[in-house]
Amino acid sequence: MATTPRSGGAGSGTAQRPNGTSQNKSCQFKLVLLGESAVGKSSLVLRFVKGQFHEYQESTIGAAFLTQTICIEDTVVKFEIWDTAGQERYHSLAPMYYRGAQAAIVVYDIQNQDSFQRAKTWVKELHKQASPNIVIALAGNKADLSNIRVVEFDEAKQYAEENGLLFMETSAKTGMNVNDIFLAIAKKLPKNDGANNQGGSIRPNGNETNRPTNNCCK
Amino acid sequence: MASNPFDSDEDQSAASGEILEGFLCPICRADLKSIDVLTDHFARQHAEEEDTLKSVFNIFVKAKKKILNNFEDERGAAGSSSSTAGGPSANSNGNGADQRVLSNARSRFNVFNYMSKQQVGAECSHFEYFQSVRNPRLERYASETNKLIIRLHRLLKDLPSDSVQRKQHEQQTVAWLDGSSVKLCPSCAKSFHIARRQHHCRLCGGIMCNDCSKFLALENAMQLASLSTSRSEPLQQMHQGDRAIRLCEHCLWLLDTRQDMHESRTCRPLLVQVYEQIRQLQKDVTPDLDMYLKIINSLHEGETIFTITDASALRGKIGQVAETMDMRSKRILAIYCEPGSREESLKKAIRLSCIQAIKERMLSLPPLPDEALIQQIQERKRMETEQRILTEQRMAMEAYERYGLGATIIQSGGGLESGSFAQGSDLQSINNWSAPQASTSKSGLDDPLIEQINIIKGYIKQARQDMNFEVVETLELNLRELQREVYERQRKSQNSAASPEVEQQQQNQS
Repeated sequence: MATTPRSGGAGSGTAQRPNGTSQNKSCQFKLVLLGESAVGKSSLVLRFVKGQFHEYQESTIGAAFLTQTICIEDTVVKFEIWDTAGQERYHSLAPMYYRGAQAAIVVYDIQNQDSFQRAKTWVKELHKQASPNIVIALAGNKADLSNIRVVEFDEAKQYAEENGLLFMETSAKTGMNVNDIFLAIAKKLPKNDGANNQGGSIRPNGNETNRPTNNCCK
Repeated sequence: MASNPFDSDEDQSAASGEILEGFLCPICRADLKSIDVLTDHFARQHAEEEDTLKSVFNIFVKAKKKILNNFEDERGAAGSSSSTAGGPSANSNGNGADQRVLSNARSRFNVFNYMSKQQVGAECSHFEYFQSVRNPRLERYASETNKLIIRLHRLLKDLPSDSVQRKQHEQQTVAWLDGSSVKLCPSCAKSFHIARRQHHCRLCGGIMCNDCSKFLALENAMQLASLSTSRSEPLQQMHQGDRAIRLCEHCLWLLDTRQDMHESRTCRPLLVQVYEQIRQLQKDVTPDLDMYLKIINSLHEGETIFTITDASALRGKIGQVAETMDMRSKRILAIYCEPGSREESLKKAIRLSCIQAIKERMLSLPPLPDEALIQQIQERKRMETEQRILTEQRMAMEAYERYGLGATIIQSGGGLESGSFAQGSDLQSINNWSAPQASTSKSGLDDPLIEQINIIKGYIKQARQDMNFEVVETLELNLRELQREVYERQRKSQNSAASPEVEQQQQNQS
């Protein structure tokens, strides 16, 4: 069972299933976290990757990179998680990180209406600029403080459905829905071509076609 | 182990164990320390990994960079250092220099980005700081110079002409430095020996060689110490070589600076002097202009206060002033100055304003009226006056007729007489008061009123000569009043002379 310290003792979702020996497939996904500052992106990742929670998580500088491997059915899924900094001055860096990402979690704070609006603009930006078949999940974080919520569950749910997003309210503090949201993403991701995509996801096949163009211009 | 979905049985210990944070490249995961370096690195290193759309965008970015490359790089040092900080990835490319340049461009680009967004920040005047730095300096120089002046004063006050005594006096006033340990001249660093002897500055007592000594002529020194040269007559007999004070360069510089300052404060450049002359002329001529206009008007009105010669004289004077102004402004223009300098444009402006003033104020004056015309006007006016007086008399007569009976004829006779006198006085004032004098001679020369009139006439003549037409005007008006007074008195005396006759006649008739 959950014995390794890394895997974190947090309540693992029901979707996970021991699959032991039959892991014949493995795939790697690039996942990026976006959202306004102080909504809990880093906490969410930290809970998912290390099972830890820091009450006073420091603000991320630039971006953080973490990995976590999960097994889902007969596939080993490795998440390469890019936890971006939410502060406005790092906004210009975000495209770099979500470029080529197969999955994104857009996080907002249920106590903060502005963060929800910001999340919406992130979703819009992703639809416009990220790879077209990116899997986007919307996470309403700090669900443990649901008694003082500002953003209603139904409102967010409706928005997510309209835009084809996965949606969950999570709590990095309690661990609620944290693993579930990652698992839901992993499930939604196309795993059949995951193996082929291992490198290709990061390096799209425009490799050869681009070279001559560059030479031309030089 | 395998049962755990979060099982990490792969060799990702580093990746999953360590949390990387910072300005990570999304592809090579190198920490590049700053946004600028990271974006630049990403654009450079991983450009080929982008899709076509991105590459088009990248071309645009590169073009922008190339344009920005042409700008002066203020943050060059910072940019290059940060690029070396992100060294491993930058150097792995092989064209480090190119990388650095581009990173500079990128950082610059960001600077400009911020600049466009930035509002004007806090402002701070450094004037007070400047003053606080400058004032002590000024004070230091001022006090140092003052000290030198005081010493100079004491030194020169009773300077003995004998060289031995003089040396003693000098050493008493200013202590000379002990030169025994001084081996080199402090200013030229040449060693002292028999041929190059030590000398002392007479004001600070400092040591120098003969070559480094400066000399201040005694006359100048006297001036500086504000001592009159006459008091030091014996100094005149001094030997030529002794008639100067040996100073070090610094002391001489301080004294020179003081004198320069003094001169610059007191001296006025030629341009200013000439300009002030012009201003004075302009100021002086203004009342003349007004007066000329007044005279012309008065002449046209047919008044007799001024004559046509007055007008022409004044006009001549104004013409002269205009000529002088013209010459002065030309003189200003002739003063040498740097071509294209502000001084030159100032001079041109002065000249232009002079020409304009001459044109507008002086040359636009109405011409002298024709003498015949004036005479005509005056004649007409006199006729009008006569007519008026006559009608007045007739009216008075008619009134009298209605009033009394007997005295009418005599009264009218007297009235006619006085009427002729009145017109005479008007005429005579043109001829400078000749007839009234004749008439007053009858009533006696010692009449104070007549005397006064004569005096005033003299004044008027003088004032005319001096072209002081304002005075002429007031005097003329004064004269008129006096004349009227005389006339009134004459009439009264005539009346009083006539009335007893009338009474007598009336008595006789009765």
